[in-house]
Amino acid sequence: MKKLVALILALACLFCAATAMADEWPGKKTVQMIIPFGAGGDTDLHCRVLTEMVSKELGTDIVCTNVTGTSGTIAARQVLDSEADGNTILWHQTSFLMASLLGLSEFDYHDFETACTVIEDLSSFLCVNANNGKFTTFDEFVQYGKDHPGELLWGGTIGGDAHLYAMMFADLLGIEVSYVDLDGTAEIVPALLNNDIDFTLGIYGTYGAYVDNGDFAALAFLGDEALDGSDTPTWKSLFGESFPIGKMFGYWFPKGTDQAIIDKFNAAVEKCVNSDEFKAHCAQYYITPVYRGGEEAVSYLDAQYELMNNYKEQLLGN
Amino acid sequence: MNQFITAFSTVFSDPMAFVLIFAGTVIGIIFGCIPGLTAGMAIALFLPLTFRMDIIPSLTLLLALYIGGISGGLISAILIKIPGTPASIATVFDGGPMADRGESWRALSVGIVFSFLGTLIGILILCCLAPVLGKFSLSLGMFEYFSVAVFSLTLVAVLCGTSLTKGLLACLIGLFMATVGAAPIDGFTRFTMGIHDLDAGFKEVPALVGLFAISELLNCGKEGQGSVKMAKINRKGFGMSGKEFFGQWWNCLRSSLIGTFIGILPGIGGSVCNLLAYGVAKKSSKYPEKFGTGIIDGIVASEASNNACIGGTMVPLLTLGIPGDAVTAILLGAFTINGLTPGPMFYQENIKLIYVIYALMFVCSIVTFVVQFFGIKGFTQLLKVPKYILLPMVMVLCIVGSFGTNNRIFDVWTLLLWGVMGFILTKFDLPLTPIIMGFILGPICEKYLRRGLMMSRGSFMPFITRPVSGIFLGLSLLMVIITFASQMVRLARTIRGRKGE
Amino acid sequence: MKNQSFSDFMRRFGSAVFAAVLFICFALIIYLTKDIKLLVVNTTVNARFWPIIIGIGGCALSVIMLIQSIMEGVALRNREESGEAEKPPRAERFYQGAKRRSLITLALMFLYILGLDYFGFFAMTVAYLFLQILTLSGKENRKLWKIALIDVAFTLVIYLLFRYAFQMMLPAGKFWSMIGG
Repeated sequence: MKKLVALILALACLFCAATAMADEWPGKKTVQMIIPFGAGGDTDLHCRVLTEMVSKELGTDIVCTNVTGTSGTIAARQVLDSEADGNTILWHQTSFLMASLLGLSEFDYHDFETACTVIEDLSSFLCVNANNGKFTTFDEFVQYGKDHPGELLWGGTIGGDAHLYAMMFADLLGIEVSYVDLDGTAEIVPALLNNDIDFTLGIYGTYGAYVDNGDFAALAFLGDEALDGSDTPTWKSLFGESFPIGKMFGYWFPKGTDQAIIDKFNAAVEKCVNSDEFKAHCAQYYITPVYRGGEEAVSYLDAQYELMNNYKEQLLGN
Repeated sequence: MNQFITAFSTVFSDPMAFVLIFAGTVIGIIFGCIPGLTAGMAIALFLPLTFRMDIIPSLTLLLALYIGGISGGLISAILIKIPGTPASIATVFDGGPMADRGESWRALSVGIVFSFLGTLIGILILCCLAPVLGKFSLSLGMFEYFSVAVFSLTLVAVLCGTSLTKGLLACLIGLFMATVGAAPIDGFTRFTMGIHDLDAGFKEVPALVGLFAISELLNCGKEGQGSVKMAKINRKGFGMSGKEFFGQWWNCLRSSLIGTFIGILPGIGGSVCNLLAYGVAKKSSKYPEKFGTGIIDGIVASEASNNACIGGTMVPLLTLGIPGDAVTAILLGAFTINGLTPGPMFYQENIKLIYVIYALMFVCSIVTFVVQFFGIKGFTQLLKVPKYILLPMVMVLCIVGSFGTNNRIFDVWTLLLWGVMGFILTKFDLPLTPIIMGFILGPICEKYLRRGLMMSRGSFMPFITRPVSGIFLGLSLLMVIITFASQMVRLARTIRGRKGE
Repeated sequence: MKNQSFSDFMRRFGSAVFAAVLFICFALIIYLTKDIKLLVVNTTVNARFWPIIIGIGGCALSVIMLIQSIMEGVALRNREESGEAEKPPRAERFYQGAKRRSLITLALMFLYILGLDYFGFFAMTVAYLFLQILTLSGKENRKLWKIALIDVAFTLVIYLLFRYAFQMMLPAGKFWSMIGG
């Protein structure tokens, strides 16, 4: 009898210990970071670099997995449905907002716990084929667009963030352009080299190399400064203010995750984002590290979403 | 030439290289020969391991896995008539019957030898013509991808056996199954009935394995049990006479060229080129009726092309930094993690590394050949295991593979679904190959058709006027006409025969 | 008597029935395309186009197959009734056995997958392999202990190889973690 009681007590203690250990995060389970786009792209790269730093900071293993599909909705849904124990985290970017705007997913970022946003990327530029025979400067481009409405062809992921920027770009310039769906740099670059499309709004980190070697030309920069150091016009120099929206990246947890876990995570992320190492990485890719946590991040996202909403009709009637 | 010598010495200066090449090749072959596991899976699994390594050891491991993986598919295709990877589907057509006749060893030898030759040809083309091919691949766009996919689909007619109607129906079933999930471009889901696990559509591995393996398992109950016969034949040499070997030279070369060309095109890869090469081999052969009964021509065509495809997929990756398929995308990831930026200058800036890659591919293909060849004895021992033990084990491996793609039980359920579907369809004499071809090629056709039309603002002209695209569409039309005509002739003959009775 | 004529009908016209079923399925596909949401709206070749083409092609082909099957079925019936062709004898024991084996195999697979999520890979695989091998081995001289040994050894090797060597995920049983606390 005594043995039985002792056994039961021991088991009870073990049980309590187990549940107590469950409160500590990160625990023994591997933390999984879900990346909604394929290996090798900018979303993947920035995630892996930053998450590597964060995992060192936290002292735990974070494994990055790519789950591709439908502007990142597949990945988002996977995290949405996973357990809120802090062991599954979503890395995403502006497409996340786009997808819910367009109705590609019935959920949006409010159905998650927004941890923080970490990067702003305004390194896009008006990228055209250097020998397209139609225009060589920004003004000529705009004029061509006005003279031939609907002829200029943009290439990129329809329904993605790039599509939105293109739409806003055209709208603010007062020109009418056409859109064709292309999947990532692998398809956009050949299409542009072949003059199958007329322009794209490429990010400098990826497309800059083509400008350097003369295949493409940068007619205008959407950011505040000319990233190639030339006197190419920037949006700010043309219109007196920055382009209204940039590409943002951030982390999300499933709804219901313990706030303590999120805070611990955020603290580590903030430290890494402000580190020299990460700043150097960002400088290399012409992106800007900007940490916004919790409430601040949510309001930032709300503001971006508001802005996108103005283009919803246009996007859906495309 | 100097560059090659430097490249080889760089590779072998590191003793770890030998370990990595050997281990990578063996693991790759294991992944390739187990139905349910693919070369792509192997590379995806080992990529994180390579993050700690420098670029050359990383590439050594990954390339060994890739080449071993693609080559490994023939083993299960021949021994248990289930393709280990989608790249070896066509190997089953002739490899299976040969195994049934007790010629497994011969089939394996032929497959291994011509796999090796195919890889070499692919590497050779890559080395010599990479920049030229890179430029050529740039001139290819939406229109070309569509036309090649259509041409591949018309070959279904060639491969679907006697009944054209049933073959086309099977193809349409495959086309439909591929539409389930998110539509290309729009992104909204089609036919998912609210099941969110289907948002991304059915996965290729459970489909392939379900169709071929599960129906095989369900059929096992019907035939006699026991192991497959192994004829006691002369095991010297390579399983074929010198005459036979040299007789295949044109088949091998043509299939390798097809494989390399298809490899250059993004989105279409090993899964298609083996079927394409087989179909072309059959159509241009002097004895097309023998295809499918167990002749080495079929194995040569299939295996040479799927290995040559490897060389082809590396072209856009190395010359332009553009990944053609899932595997090269992962290799690209390996480059980026190691600080190498893909782009137009990638080739010129990293020429030394590129030669190392060529050297690595060359060495890996030799190691694969050696490992496989000396492993044949072991592989054929598998045949001694009775089918009633072997097939359930294969089933378990298939489940592991299906689960491993996305870590979801749902994919395992789809495996069963495809299996039951395949079983029912074979009961009514619908061929399985067109189903998988439709499943793989359907999305490609649809996506590029729509994109091409978006680019041309709704005009069909560019599909015909652009040279490469026009050629393939023309070939497709020719193929349809020829097949239709031969079916008509056959019909007329049977009618005349009946009248004569 | 009824049984006989039904099995005769199925033997001769089974393909025709199947073709009719296919026709209904493809027609259903065409019907369901109306619910597909569109993002790119101003073209005819939109997200509905491809499924509609498949549906139309499928309907046409299944009608052709239906006609062909009916013709063949009629020809077979004529040949059998006129004595030209022999009706296959009633299903022998062996055939019945094979059908039963296929059904059991199907059931085993179903239960295996069902149990994977709950009992985990190791337990379910050991159970499944044992039962499946037994089912398929028929009346051959089989030694139970040998099968069990191969079964467990194989499962163990696979488990260790994939879980630890390849670092792949395998289904973990909810049941075990539930009792583990």
